Amino acid sequence: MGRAARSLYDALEQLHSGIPLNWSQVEDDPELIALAQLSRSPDITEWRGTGTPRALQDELFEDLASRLPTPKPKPVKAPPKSLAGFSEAVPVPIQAEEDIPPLSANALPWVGATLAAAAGVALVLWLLASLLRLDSAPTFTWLQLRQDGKAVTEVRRPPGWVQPACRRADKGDGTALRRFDAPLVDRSQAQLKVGFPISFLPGTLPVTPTYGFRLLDVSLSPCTTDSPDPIDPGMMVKLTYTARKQVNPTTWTATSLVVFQGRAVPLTVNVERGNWKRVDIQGARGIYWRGAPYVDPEGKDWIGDVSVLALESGDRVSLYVGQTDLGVDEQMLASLAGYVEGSKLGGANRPLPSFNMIQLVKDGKPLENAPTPAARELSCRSGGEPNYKFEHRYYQVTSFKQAQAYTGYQLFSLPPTGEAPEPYHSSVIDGAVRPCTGNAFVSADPGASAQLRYNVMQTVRGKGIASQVTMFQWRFVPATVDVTKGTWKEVQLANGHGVLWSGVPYHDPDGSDWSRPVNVLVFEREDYVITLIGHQDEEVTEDLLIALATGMNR
Amino acid sequence: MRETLVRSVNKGRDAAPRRQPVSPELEGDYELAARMLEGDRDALRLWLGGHLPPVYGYLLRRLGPGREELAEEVAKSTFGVALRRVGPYAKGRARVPMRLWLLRLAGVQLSKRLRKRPVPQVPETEKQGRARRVLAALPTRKQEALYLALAEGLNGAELAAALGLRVPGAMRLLRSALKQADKGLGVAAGIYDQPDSQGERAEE
Repeated sequence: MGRAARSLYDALEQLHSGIPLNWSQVEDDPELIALAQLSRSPDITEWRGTGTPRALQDELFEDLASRLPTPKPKPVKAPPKSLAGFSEAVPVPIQAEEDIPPLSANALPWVGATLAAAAGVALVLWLLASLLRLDSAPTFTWLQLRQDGKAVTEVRRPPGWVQPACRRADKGDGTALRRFDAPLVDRSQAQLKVGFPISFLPGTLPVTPTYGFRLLDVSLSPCTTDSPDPIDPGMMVKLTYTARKQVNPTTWTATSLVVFQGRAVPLTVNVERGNWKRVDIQGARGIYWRGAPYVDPEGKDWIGDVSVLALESGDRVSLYVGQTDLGVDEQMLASLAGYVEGSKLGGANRPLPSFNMIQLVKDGKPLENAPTPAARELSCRSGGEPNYKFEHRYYQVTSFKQAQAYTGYQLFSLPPTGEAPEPYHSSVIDGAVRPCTGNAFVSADPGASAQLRYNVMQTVRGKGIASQVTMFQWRFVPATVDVTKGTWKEVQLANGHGVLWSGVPYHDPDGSDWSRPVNVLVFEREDYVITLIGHQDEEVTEDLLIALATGMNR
Repeated sequence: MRETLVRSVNKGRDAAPRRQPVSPELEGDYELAARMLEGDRDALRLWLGGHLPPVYGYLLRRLGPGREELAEEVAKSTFGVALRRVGPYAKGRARVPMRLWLLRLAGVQLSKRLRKRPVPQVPETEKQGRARRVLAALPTRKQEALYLALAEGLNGAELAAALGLRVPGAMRLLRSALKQADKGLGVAAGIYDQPDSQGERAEE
């Protein structure tokens, strides 16, 4: 590539990273000047028009779906024949294949003894199951599992509960199919029409393997009203997601995940075959079922290998459906539901987290019953009172390299690219350092604190968004998080533990007041404390902060 | 990382297959396309849900305000053509991420549509619409290059893929477009302000 092409290529790369071209870069090049000017032209780069009309998507879907070939039905395996002498209705526990001894020549002398023992155990279990069957079926308030038309679990409704008379379904007992309205793309718009908090999934799940979730749309199914209304006691919500699972560092599988939610509404899982088990996740009780086929509450057919997780917690019900072989398996659903249910805990019921280096404070005092981090004494190399005690200001440095030179530890930096769940790119804008003591930089100062500001370019709802994230980091010194105002929740990361705080105003370690609503992630990692801050109206979401923190490296 | 096999013939002898790595994005495109061609309606819904908004947005930005109906018309023809031609993705042979391929298709469909029935410029205010009017006066291919680079924020490699060119060729096209746009914009005449100096911190 020639010099002219290379300079244009580099300029595009810089703009793609969200960093504007500056005068000194373009002054001798008229075409680059034009590029710099056009890149600031609002009618080219800022005007985003209206969102994609839902009617367009529906019309296109119907048109193109009619051109798809007819899907070939997958062959259904015949159920395995039972051992001679046992009824096929025996509820034999599922046995892992590893437990079955291989039929090798060496194993032959043992096979007879093993089979006899297994038969004996199965007989005992069958006898016990027959005696205990009536008492073993779990009882739920809102959920029910029905297999081949028969109830497998018991139901006990709350006293005084009246079944809502749904206008659009024959009955509101959870067995009739629900009709969902045209989907909404905007979460807040959907929430306004629903009388209970919708639990949206996180963008990424900070577990191993990594899972990512992207919301495609939200649909509402009114019950007692003609159109969605928060007063409707039988309303149901359907969230459609793309769920991605990282199978190795460079490969992801993607599939559809649908979540149904309701409050004080019966929810029935109707199946013909498959295996199920009772689950308890973060205080929510329910059923995990795997098999095929499955018809969801909307009437959609799920074929192949389907996983369904149905949970109830208080008066809230939720149901997750996806394809097991494409990543929506029991492990994923359990992790996801654990995160969602854990996030719902609030107020007096929420257990207070225990940190090594983070102190929660309210009205100027440590939060009641919150464990206090072990006190640490930080001595600065050059003597004098440590600056962190006085909220001393940070001093500008000219580069990341200079920031590194004035701190006595390897600095963390944000990942240059990642997904949250949409793709993002980050690049450092500038930085500052607060020396351990005094107002002069000290080389390799272990008590110094660094502040780095980043540009983060994301794709949100199909459009590019540029936002800024400010990061503070220091070592050995505890941090306080004031939870007097705003909302907060504990966050467990793959490589750290901390608090997500949202609200306004926020007073940062540099003494600046953030006067627009912010999301703040303060977490401890080894003996470091790291703080990430960004404005909510710049799409610096909780998911983005978690993704940045999880991907951070030295 | 799933890899595709590329056979290279070396002077009459079959060389060992050379494996080319495939990005996770392309992996996802292959899988979705394969499922669609097996009749999976869920896959079609995912495909439209993920790709229609950026394509529609791109068409809207090319056409300007008041052209929503035309943008919808071109979006429909784009995806209709795309579904017919998605075979290379289903077979794991395509090398361009689908989002860039769809932008290219959208540009082609838009050109065809405008050649058939040109649309008049929507009147805009003098200062507001100047850049857009200057770009509208350029040949279609140069317009396309500028909009993809500026409005869609593609970098050099992505721009080349979306234009169906090699990187040096895409840079030459873009430079030529900028040269022509520069004449219409009158930067030297001081109609536009000078860019800000670098490194100023935004005030909270």
